[in-house]
Amino acid sequence: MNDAARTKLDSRHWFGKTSAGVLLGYTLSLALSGVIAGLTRGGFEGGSGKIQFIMWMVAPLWAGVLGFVFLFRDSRSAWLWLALANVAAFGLLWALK
Amino acid sequence: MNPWLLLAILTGAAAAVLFYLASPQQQWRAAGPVRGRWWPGSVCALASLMATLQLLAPMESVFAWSVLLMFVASIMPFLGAWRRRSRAQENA
Amino acid sequence: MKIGSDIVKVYKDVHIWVGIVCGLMLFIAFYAGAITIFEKPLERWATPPSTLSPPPPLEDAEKLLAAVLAAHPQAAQRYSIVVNPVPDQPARVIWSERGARPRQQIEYGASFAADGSLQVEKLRKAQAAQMVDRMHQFVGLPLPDGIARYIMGAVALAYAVALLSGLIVLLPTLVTDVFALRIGKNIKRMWLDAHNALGIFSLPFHLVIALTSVVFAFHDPFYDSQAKALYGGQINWGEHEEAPTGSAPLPASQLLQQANAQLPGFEVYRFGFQRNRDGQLEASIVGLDVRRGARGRTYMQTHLDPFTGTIDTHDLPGHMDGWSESVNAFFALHFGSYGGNPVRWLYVLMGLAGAALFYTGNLLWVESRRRKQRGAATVEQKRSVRVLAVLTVGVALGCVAGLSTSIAAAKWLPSRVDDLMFWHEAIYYVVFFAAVGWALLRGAARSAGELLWLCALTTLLIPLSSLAGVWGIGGTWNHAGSAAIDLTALAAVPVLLLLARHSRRRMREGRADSVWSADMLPTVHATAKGALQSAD
Repeated sequence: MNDAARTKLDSRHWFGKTSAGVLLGYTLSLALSGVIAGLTRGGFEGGSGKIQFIMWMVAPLWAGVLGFVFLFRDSRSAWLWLALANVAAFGLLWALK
Repeated sequence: MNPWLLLAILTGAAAAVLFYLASPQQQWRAAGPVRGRWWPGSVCALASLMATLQLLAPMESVFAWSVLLMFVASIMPFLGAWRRRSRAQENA
Repeated sequence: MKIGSDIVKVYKDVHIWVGIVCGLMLFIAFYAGAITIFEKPLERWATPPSTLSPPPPLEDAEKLLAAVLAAHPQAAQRYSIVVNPVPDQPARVIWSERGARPRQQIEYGASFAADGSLQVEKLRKAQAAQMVDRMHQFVGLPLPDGIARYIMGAVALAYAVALLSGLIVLLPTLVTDVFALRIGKNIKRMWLDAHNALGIFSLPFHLVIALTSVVFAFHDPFYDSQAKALYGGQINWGEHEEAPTGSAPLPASQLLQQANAQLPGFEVYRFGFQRNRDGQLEASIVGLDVRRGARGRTYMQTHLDPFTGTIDTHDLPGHMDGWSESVNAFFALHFGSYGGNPVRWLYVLMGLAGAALFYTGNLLWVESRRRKQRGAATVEQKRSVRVLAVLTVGVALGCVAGLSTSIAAAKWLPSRVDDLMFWHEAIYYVVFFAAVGWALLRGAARSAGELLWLCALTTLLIPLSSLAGVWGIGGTWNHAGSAAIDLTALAAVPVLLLLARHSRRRMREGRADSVWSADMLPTVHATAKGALQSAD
């Protein structure tokens, strides 16, 4: 993407973006951890080792969302897109279960 | 000291040092970087990994080996800058 | 790599703010964490000598156990037989009883006196290593565990974001600037290079530490949410295994022989025994295989059939399923619990380098905001710059001096007070807050040199306390074979003094228009002087 073709990012929306990353980012990583569990061997009944591993996956997913949330144009689009991602991820999780 | 351990540490440290010397930003050698010479460092890094594999389980070997490379690579810029300064003081 | 300048700017702001808010807490976590790598030797060093007679040979462990059970039948609930007694596990037979407080376990050890009679001692536990670990786990905060743990988790999450944002900021110049450290007129450039050098190659290490810390803080809420979202309300951890049955457990010496045959390279520390709810005997084997990572920081543990000596290896690294093996690796990567002492030393160095990363980050912030002198008039630095400089010096050096003093106190406290942990923490916080107060009073420039002297002196107290122990002065002691702690502390003293000399020189000879100059008045004075001048 070149600089002229898009609106410039700035730091004004930091609070809205951060809160979206913390709250919706958490629920999104929760759903994605479930999707990982559902798509891998053993599913949701994979035993204690897998249950622990799937719990560990929440941390990198959450940190990843929180790290990249600042790329959204503003707070509104951060909340909007993350909400949509949540709906998609939970939908997928529900389908897998 | 276990000879494998000694070999693992020496070749691992040498690998990071050689990578540093090959970098355009190196300050250790007055003559400038060993340009484009990435293979001596790579050979040493490989030798270090082989030696570590004699000591530890495979996954743990890779961990220990990469932490060693990370550490030496992190401090090389400081050693290089220090050496350049002492060289400048000698010449002055 | 090409990244839009506005994106770099946004991530620079993110990086800076996370650094300002979390940097000093992370410094404490890393410095204390570097010390906890050697928690076992430190605990040994800090444990008061036992009054028990030397332990009987392992072959006589069952005789000792029978004598203990005859005199203290409650010991049958939970006891261990120690293979190789050391100062912090000083008895062949050790058992634990419930204390008055919830989840409190009081440990007792037993031996035979010279006349063959039973000796029992309530084991004197050292708390020095645990105090350092508390500072590490709770980023030095004087708050209740439950609150401090979540703050630590938030700091760790922010730290992961800081790593990512730092990488994004660095990416455009990464290839040209890698390995650079340009020392010259531009001090800001130098601190930036130093900060990058420490950060970029250690990035994988830092990412692992950050993400594992997030899990260590939040695993309970993570499990609770996953129980609801993934597992239909409750997590099914699987069946509890049947307890083995038999008439009499094998003697410990035979269990050891079997263990050595079954698990070559695994050093057995002790065998643990306990009665389950149905009164059946269950046993575990505790030890370490240095070739693999230990989830329990200093040991590995698994079940054992006490009647046949067969070890159930499925809880040992190298024998687990892939999921458990990965989880075990996450723990090991954070603790550096593989490869024995060489890897431990490497982790100590990485921990100190990490602490330096946060310190240089703050120095870079201070330097970037320096108001430069033009002409003869002296310039006054912004209040925020002075405050951060003062806090950086006070908090970082206060942590170093506080930990040293509190560790040194380990050899003087047991003969004087009962609640060791309270006193260890009290000493730490008194020194820590005194250092911060001193920095506020004297300004960053002067206090840096002075507090480094304090750090050197308090660190010297550690070997001096052991030296006092050689003559048994004031209730102190010195265990043979724990000199490594004293020598390490002794080696740190000249390093701290060198840094002190360096800061004094910077104060005298550095630029006058810097918070590191003696001309720069301390915060309190500067505001007072400002008020006076405006009154004129």
